[in-house]
Amino acid sequence: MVEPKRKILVADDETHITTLYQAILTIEGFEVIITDDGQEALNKAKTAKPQLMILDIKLPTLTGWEVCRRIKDDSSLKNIPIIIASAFGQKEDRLRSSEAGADDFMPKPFDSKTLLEHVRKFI
Amino acid sequence: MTQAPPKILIIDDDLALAKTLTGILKRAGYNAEYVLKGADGVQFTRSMGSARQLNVVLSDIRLPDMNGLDVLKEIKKIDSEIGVIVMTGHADVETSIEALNFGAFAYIQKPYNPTEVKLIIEKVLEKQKLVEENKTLLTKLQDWNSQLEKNVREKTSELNRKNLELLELIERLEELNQSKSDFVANASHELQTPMTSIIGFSSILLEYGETLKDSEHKRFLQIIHDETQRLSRLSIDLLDLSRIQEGRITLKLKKVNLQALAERVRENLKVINKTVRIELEFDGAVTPVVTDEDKIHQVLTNLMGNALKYAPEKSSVRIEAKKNKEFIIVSVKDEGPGIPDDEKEKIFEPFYRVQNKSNLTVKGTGLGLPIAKAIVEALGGSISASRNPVKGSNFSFTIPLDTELTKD
Repeated sequence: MVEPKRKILVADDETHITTLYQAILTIEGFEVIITDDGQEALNKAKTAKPQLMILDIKLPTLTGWEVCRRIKDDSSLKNIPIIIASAFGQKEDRLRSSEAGADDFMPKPFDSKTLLEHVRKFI
Repeated sequence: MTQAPPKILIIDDDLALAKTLTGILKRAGYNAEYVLKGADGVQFTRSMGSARQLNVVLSDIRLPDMNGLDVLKEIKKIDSEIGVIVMTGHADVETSIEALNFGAFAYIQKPYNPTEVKLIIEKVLEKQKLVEENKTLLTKLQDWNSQLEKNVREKTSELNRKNLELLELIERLEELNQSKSDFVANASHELQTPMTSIIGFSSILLEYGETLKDSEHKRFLQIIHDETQRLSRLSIDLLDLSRIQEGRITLKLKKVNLQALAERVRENLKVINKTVRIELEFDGAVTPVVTDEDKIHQVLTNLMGNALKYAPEKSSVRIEAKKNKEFIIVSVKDEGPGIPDDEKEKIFEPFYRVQNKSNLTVKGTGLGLPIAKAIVEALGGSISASRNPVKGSNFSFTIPLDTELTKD
């Protein structure tokens, strides 16, 4: 029996960065859903039921933190693990991410190995 | 103190006594006079006025028209400092003591002893002198005191003013500090994006190079290339901005032909958007102006570059220059989306972007306008943005005609 593809929802408002996620994760056999908007990330989480979410902090309409909080407050979604990605060295960002209920924090910039290490903690 | 001799009034109805006593006192160096009636004595005292012109009154206690005690009271009412000496007979000791209670300085029993009279007068004068000196001292003390209070008040208000200035300074420094850390945070965010692309895509090429399609290979290399260039532009702009803001640039002032300069910038930039017409409208009186040619070149490049990037296809961009008494005013007008009124100052802040989704396609370092502003201000002018009445935005900056810079 072929295992169904594991879905990862990625939200980042920089086109190159979403392309980067998509390239690495597709090669590794994941199905990647992309958005550049916070509200849209929340909507897609509800409809697509991904196995993992990677959120940038600075997003239009809702911040990554806000999306994270709402997912974790929703009993049907709260089991989706969430990685928040943000600029390296921002201690406060890391702290606020865990306060928002994020399961992991990934500093940017990252290379393919680092990204996969973070992803494989969860799926 | 006046040098005039002390004045003494004698009130006695015994003409012989009055005359004799007056004579004695005059010979002793006093300015003595006599009257025979109590009312005349009061009248005389009153005519002397309140300034100490009469020092001593020698008054008989029994006068034909008035009681000596009443005379005493009247005189004391006019001037309490006048020393009143009452002269009494043996029978009037009681009255004399009463006179002391009403403020008489002393009493003398008749027949009087001239030496005793002079001695008592001396005592009166001495007391008056002391009172006078005390008054002067008191006045001095009060003056000194009020001067001191005034000084304290002045120093206090000066201190308050300084305190306020210091508070304002602290506030300004805090703002500056805040804007500096905002700047660093923004700059690091802006640097992080291209770096993530560069590190990420190069790691893909290294890890999965053999498995990638040629087209993907090329696409990722292109992204790495573009983002490296973006990083390079960003670091140059960041250096430029901090150098200008900190005054670490040397201005090379010379006569500049603005129109020729604008034409050169137009030639350089027209490739950005070939469908856009760039029109120059220069007031003939504008050129030449003394300023820094390279720096104005950079300002024009940044403003015209923005105008071209935001200009719709086949629209026009206008560069106008006018002159008034103090400045040359250069305006760059486009027909693009324009700038909302509440953002027209913010756009000169580093990395600020007008909140509009259609801008996401227009790339820039977010430092072009801050650099233009810093340059214009270093050259003694100012820059502002406004909305065009019809459509698009209008950026204007001034170049001073006659400034301290020019005189250097």
